[in-house]
Amino acid sequence: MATERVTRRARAWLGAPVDAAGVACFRIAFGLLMACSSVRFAARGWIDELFVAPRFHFAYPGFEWLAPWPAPWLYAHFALMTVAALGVAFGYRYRTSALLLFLTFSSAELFDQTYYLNHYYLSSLLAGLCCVLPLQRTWSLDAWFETHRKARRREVQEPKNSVFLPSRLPVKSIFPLPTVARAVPFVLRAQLAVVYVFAGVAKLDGDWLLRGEPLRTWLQVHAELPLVGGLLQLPGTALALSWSGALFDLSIVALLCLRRTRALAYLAVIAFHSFTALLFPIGVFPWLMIALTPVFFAHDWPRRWLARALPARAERSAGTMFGAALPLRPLGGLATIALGAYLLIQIALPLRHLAYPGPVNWGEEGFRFAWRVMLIEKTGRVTLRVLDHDSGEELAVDPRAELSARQYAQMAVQPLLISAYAHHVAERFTAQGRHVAVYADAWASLNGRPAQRLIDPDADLSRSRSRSLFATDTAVLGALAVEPPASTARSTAATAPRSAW
Amino acid sequence: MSGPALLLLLLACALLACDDAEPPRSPVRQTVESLGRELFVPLTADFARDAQQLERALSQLCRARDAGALDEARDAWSTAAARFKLTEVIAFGPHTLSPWRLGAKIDFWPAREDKILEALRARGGEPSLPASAGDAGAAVPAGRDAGAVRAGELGAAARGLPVIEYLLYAGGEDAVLAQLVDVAAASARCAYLRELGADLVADARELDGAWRGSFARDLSLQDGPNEHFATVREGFARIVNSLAFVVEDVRTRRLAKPLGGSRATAHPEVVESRFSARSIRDALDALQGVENVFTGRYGQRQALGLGALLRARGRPLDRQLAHRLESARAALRAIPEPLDRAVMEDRARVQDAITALDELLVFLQVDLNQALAVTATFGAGDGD
Repeated sequence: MATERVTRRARAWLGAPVDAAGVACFRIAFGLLMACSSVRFAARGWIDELFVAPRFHFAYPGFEWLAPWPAPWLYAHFALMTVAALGVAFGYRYRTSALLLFLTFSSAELFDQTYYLNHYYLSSLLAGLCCVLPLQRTWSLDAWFETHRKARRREVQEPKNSVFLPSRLPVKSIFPLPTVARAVPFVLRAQLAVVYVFAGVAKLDGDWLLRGEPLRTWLQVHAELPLVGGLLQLPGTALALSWSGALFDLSIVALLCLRRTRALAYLAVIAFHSFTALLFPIGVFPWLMIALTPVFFAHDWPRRWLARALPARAERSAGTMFGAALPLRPLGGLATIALGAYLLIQIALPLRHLAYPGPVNWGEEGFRFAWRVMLIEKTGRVTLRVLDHDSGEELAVDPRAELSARQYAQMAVQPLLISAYAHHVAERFTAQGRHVAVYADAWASLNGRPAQRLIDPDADLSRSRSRSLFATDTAVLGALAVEPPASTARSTAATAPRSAW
Repeated sequence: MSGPALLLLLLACALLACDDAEPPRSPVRQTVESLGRELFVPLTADFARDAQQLERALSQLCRARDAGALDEARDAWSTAAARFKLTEVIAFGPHTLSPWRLGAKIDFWPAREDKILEALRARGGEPSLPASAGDAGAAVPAGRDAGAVRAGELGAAARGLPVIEYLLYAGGEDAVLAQLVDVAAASARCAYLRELGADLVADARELDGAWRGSFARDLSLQDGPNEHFATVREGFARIVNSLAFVVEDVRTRRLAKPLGGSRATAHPEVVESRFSARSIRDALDALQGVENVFTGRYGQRQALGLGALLRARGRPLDRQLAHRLESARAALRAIPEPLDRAVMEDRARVQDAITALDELLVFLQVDLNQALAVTATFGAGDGD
C-alpha cells in the first residue's frame, strides 16, 4: 500500500506540468553546440586523421560490425550529424532530427574505443534523451508550424466576425502556456547531476587530494602562460586547484538547485569551466556544461529573463512562435519505470568498478562511462612478443607500425586495449596458418609514479577473454605502492616491491 | 574555495607579482635556451672543426700514402664520427628538416658498397658518373668548393662519413694502402676522398651555420613563434623525445635489426661502421649524447640539463638515469667487437644489450616523459 502511495505521488509529482521554456533552451543550446562540435571535428581534419588513416580500429565488444565507412561517406555522416543537430536546435522535425543525431554521433563514437571521451559519452546520452523527451514543445519550428496550423483551422471553423473570437485576438490567448511534465527537466537535471557528483566522488582519492595529481603534472605545461604561468608552477597551486575542483563537483548540483545560491553557483560554473577550457584541451565540454546547467534554474527562467530584457517582444511572442500546440501527454506507468531504470543504470555504471579487481585508475576496468573526469595522467610503452608454437621462433611486434600515435598512446596504458590488440595480432598470424601466443611487455606510469609493469609478461593475451563489455581477464598487475617523493630519488620500477595499491 | 574565488585569487597574485621588469623566463625556456647555447651550438661547431681536420688528414693521406698518414686519417675520421654520434640527439633539427636534411648527407649507414664502388669507377673515367657531377666548371655555391659540389651531387649512399670509413678501412690497412699506391686505383680513390672531405666540411659548416644562425633561437622561441616551433614546449618536447629516439635507434637499428629473428636471419651486412669495427663505440657515443642532454655537460661546458629541471621541480631522476645508462653501456661493452660477427656468434650478449636498452627506453618513454609532462594527454577520457 505504502509503495503504491509513494509511486502514485511520484507519478503525480513527475507528471505535473511545468513551463517548457527551460528545457527548450536546453535543447537549443545542446543542438547548436553539437552542430559546432561536428563542424569543428571535420574542420580540424579529424575525420581523416581518426577514421580514414588508421589501418586498425579498436572496436567495442559487440560492435565489431561497425567500422568507419569509406571517406566520402564519413563526410556525409558528419554532414548529416550537423544537419540533425541543427534540426534539434531549431526543433524542426524534432524526433527525426534527434534520432539521427543520436545514431550518427553514437556510431562515430563507437568506431574506435581509443577515441572515447567523457563528453562524447555525455553527448550521446543527451542525444538519446532528446529522442524520447519532448523538448520541442515550445520555441521550436515544429511547435510554431503546429500552432499556426491549428490557428488557421480555428479561423476556418470560427469566422472573423464570430462573436466568440475577435479577429485580432493574439494566438497566445487561444493556447495555454506551453508545458512539459516535470519529469522532463528532472531527467535532464539528474543526468547532469550524475556527471558532476560522480566526477566529484572519483576525486576523493589520495592522488587528487593529497598529491595534487594529475593537475600538478598538467600545470607544468603552462609555465609559459603570461601572468599566471609562474603561479601555476607553485607546489600549493595544484593542491588548491584539486581541492577546489573536488568541492566544486560535489557541491555544484546542490548549489544550483537552491534558489538562494543559484546565481552564485552559475557564476562558479562559468568561472570553473572557463578556467578548465583555458588550461586544458577538453574541447566543447566546458561550453556544453556552461550552456546546459541553466536547466537547474526555475523552469520558466527563459520567459522571465525575456520579459525583463525585452518586455514588449516577450508579450507579443510568448504565445505565437513560442506556441504550445503540441499535446501534453500524461506520464504513464511505463514511462515512470523506464525513467527510474535509466537513472538506476546511470548510477550503477560509475560504481561497477567496485566489482572488478584492482585499482580502477590503473587497470581501467570500469573506468569508462563512469565520469572519472581528469583523474589520471598515464604514460605507457608496450611492445608485443609473438611466440610461434611450431617453430619456437619469437618475434617482436611494435604496435606503432600499425596504429596511429593517438591509438598507440591510448592503448599503451589500457590493459583492455592491449588485450584487444594482442587478439588482433594473434588473428593475423593464425590467418597465415601459424599457431602463436602473444605476450605484452607493457609499462606505464600513473600520476607521476615510477614506471611499472601493467600486464603480466608471461600471460598469453591471445587466450584472454572478455569478462563483460567493460573488462577482460587480462592479467593486469597491481600498481606499486611507491609514492613519488617530493625531493628524494625514486625507487626504480624494477626493484620496487609489488603490492596492492 | 569556489571556482571564481580561486580564479580571482590567482589573478590577484599574478598582478601583485607583476612589475616593470622583464617577466622571468620559465624553467623550461631557460633549459631549452641553455641547452642550445651551451650544448647544441658548440657541439655542431666542434663537428665542423673535426670535419676540417678530417679533410686535412685525407689530403695528407693522398700526398703521403703511407701507414702513418692512414692512421692519422683514421683517427680523424673516428673523432669526427664520434662527435657526429653525439649530435643524434638533435636530429630533429637541420639533420632532418628541409631544406637542410644534413643527417643523411653526413651519416647515411649502413654503407652501401655497390654505390661506393660505382662512384669510384666513375672517378676512374667510367660513364656511370652523372654529367652534371663531372662538370667541375659549374657554378659553385658559396661555402662549397668544386670537390664538395661534385660529391654533393651524389646520393646519400655515396657520400659522408660511412663512405670515408669504407675507403679508409675496407679490406684492412694493407689493402687500403695498396689501393693508394697502385697507380691506376690511387687517382680515383684520392680524388674521391678529397671530394668527400670537402663535401663533409661543407655539410658540417652548413649544420653549424644552421644551428648558430637561427635554429637555436627558433628552438627557444627567442624571436617568437616560427616556422619550426609554435611554442617553447614544442621544442622542449622534441628534445625530450629525441632521447628516446636515439636509444630506440641504438636498440633497433644498430642491434635488433642485424641480430634478426634467429641465427639464420641475422643481417651482419646492416651493421653500422662494420669496416672499422666501431659499431659498439658508435652506440656508446650515441648514448653519451643522451647523457649530455640530461646532465647538460659537454666538455668544459655546463648547460641546464633536463636533470637540473627535474631537480628544481622536486622530481630528481639523475640516479635512475645513471643506473640504466650504466647498465646499457655495460651490456654493450660486453659484446665482443666486431658486431657483425657477434650477431652471428655471440647472439646472447647482443640480446642482453637489447634488454638493457629496453629498460632504458621504458625509463625515457614512461618515467621521464611523465615527470616532464611531455606527453600530457589529460587522461584517456578527457582529451579534446
